[in-house]
Amino acid sequence: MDVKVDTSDGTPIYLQIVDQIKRSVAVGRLKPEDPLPSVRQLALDLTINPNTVARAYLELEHDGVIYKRQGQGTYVSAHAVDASRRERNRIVGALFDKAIVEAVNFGMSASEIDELYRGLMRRYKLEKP
Amino acid sequence: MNAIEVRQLTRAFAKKGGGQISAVDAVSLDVAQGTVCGLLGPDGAGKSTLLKLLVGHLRPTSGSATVLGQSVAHLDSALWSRLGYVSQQHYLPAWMTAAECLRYARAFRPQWDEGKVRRLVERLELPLDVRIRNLTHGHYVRLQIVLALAHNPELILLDEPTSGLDPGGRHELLAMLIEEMAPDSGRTVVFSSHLVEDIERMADSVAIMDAGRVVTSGLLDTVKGSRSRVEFSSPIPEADLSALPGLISFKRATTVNVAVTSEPDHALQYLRSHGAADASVVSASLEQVFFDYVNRRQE
Repeated sequence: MDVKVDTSDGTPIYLQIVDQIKRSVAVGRLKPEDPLPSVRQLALDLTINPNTVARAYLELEHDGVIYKRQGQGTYVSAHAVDASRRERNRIVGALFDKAIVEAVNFGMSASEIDELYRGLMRRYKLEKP
Repeated sequence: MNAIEVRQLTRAFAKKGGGQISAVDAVSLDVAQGTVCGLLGPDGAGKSTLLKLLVGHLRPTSGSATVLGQSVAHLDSALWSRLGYVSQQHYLPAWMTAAECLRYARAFRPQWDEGKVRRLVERLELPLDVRIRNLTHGHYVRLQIVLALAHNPELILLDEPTSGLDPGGRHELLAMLIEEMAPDSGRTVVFSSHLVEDIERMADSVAIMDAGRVVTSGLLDTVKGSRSRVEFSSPIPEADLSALPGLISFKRATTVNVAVTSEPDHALQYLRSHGAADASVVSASLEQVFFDYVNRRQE
């Protein structure tokens, strides 16, 4: 599993793990019923406190992304894709949110923002001209 | 439940040329059982003295502390056998070989786990037939760690354990601590370091020490969240800055202004309404928080 932690980042380490696992599910790198490493193993792989990994797993379990099988370990849940899609919308939504706040701060009107957005969509070929 | 409770703990030493200096000055601190607490501070902050007080190597001048429910004022051998301690000082008998030292220590430790000791010695490639005075620094630290873990203690206290180790040795030491911290072991670890990264990786809670005092302490994420950096490039008048909500420090760099604040949301709003439209919040790393607490005193 491809998880990295960056200690120079202000984001709490457990959240870095949560975000990356959700991202892996959202892009299909992790699929339902895929096993996750044990708390101890991931703590050793990342050289971090096992309590931090346990906290990340608890958060992911709470969000319906992973589930525990009694005595067998932790797996990606069947609804993980839905949960991760909600997460994806939240992350991308927050970026849009930031952009709109900036735009309003620069005094842009709604139609100017709309025009800029459509222009960008065309540039990335996400919308027909 | 707390493995450690420290209340107003003070240890004073006589200063050269008269007077006294408090190496540990009215420190209060709790460490919850089953967690890792990192003591972070510059050299001379009082981290080693605090650890020595907790293991009974020094007596407090005033204040109190309990370790695993017992007062440090009356540490007995029953409590001592529940602790593991790695010191920065070279107190092991220099004339013994590492093997002799392990045999000697075993006699004092009823819960000595010989299987574990063998595994650790092998894993750490500890040369057993070398006299302690001839061990390299790295091997000396490793021997101390084997001695500290041999009896599966409930509380492990380590004074700058990674200091002076090469990157491989440092990584190995942290990995060993992670293995000791099995989720159901309930084991508590306190370690001091001047390496912010070690604390950031290993600690649940952190106490930042400076000049004998704990300047801030709490859950790592809470301490990190207590400070935010707000960056903006637009010039704004000094007079407006002094009223910035939660302002702690301010630096003018060539292209960007950095304000450290405890109220990022209000500060952001304030800056934007005072002509800094590009102001944005950058979450602070532990290193930035640490320098902020420690440098402010020195400036």
